[in-house]
Order: sequence, then structure tokens, then C-alpha cells
Amino acid sequence: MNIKLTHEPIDADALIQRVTRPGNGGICTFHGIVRDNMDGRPVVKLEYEAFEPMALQELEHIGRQAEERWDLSDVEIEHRVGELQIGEASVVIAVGAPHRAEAFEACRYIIDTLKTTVPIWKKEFYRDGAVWIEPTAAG
Amino acid sequence: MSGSRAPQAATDAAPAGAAIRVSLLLFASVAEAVGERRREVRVPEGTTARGLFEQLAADVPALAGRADHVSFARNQQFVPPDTVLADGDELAVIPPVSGGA
Repeated sequence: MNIKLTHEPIDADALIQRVTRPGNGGICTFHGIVRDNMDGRPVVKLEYEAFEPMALQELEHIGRQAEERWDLSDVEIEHRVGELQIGEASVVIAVGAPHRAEAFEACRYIIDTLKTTVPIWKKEFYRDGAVWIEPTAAG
Repeated sequence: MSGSRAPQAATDAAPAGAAIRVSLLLFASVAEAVGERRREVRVPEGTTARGLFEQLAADVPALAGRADHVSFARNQQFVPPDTVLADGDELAVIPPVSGGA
């Protein structure tokens, strides 16, 4: 398992290469990308802030839960912090497993859980202001 | 938010009686509202995580009504709001998270 918070652009190809091993019949990746709008309102850039030591700990916890629940060979999670431009990756997850079903399910589980438990916050910048995104309900 | 708790400023001035020292860590919208990311405070023994946040919020209008919408981590572990703090604790106020995509 490899967990990382980074202030630099995420090298998604490197993650995918690390999980591309002969025993892995299925590799599933998720790339979270900075979208250019929020419900139609143009977004010009994003900023992610993390409580870094605790965010790493929580990401590891999620990775371990996934490994306990499914038959996985490799779990890679990398999350960006700092300022991001439109089109850049905020998070990349790569899961390698002997079979595809486990890879799909674990990858989905990791991103869905990450969004609700890991102390990382997103600030959206618009042409005329900025706001911290704070979901009030799970999901 | 309960209005029954008497607001008491969380400052460096030691309150009467036994006091504990807590490092308060603030993030995202809460840090912006307060204008600080870290604050060292002295509070009476028996102060809870939520109680400390309410003391902080009493001086910051933008934090009014937020006590029900933040979580707390003591020494990097999530804890219930009614957790009683100890001398030397680090208390992080965790606004609703929005990492991922």
C-alpha cells in the first residue's frame, strides 16, 4: 500500500505502473479532476487544504479496510493539496487485484469513503469570490 | 446551539482555579473566520471539545451556529464533542470535509 499527500502534480502513470504486475488480472483507477464549473457556475481554480498528519492516517485506514474486505494486491492513493488549476488531478487511486470485481469495488469504496472521512477541504474560486465546500449531509 | 453556557473568552489569561493548556488547531472556513490556524489557550479543568469551540465561537460572529456542524480530533483521533480535554491536548476543529473530487 502506498499513500501520499503531495503539493506537486500527481503522476498518475507512475501509480498505474506500480500496480501493473503479473499477478494482477484487474487494475482499476479513479482520477478526480478539477471541473470548470459547480452546477453551471464557472470555477477558475481550486485549493485543497489538509490536516496532513491526520489525513495520511485516515487514508491509510481506508486502504487497510479495503485490503481486509477484498482480495487486493496493490492499493495506491495520492491526494493533491494546495492550489490546483482546471483539468488537474486532485486525487488518483489505483487498485490492483487478481480479479476485476474486487478492483472495481475497492476503488469505488476508497473514493466514496475518502470524501466523507479524510480531513481535507476544498475551496472553490469563482470569478467573483471563493467559498469553502462543506457538505452538510453524507453522500 | 445551547445558549445556556456562559461565554468565556478563550485567551491566554489564566482563569481562576485549575486550568489546562490546550493547543487549538483550525482549518479551512474556521481558520479563515478566526484569522488564525493555531491558538494556545488556557481553559478550566473539565472543559469539553465542544465547550472550547463554543468559547472560541462566542468571539467570532461567523462561527455562530457552527458547533453542531464541526467534528473534533484530540491528538489526531476523532473524539465525541463531549470529550473532556486534558492538559497538553491538541484539539483540531474539523469542519465538514470535502476532499476527493
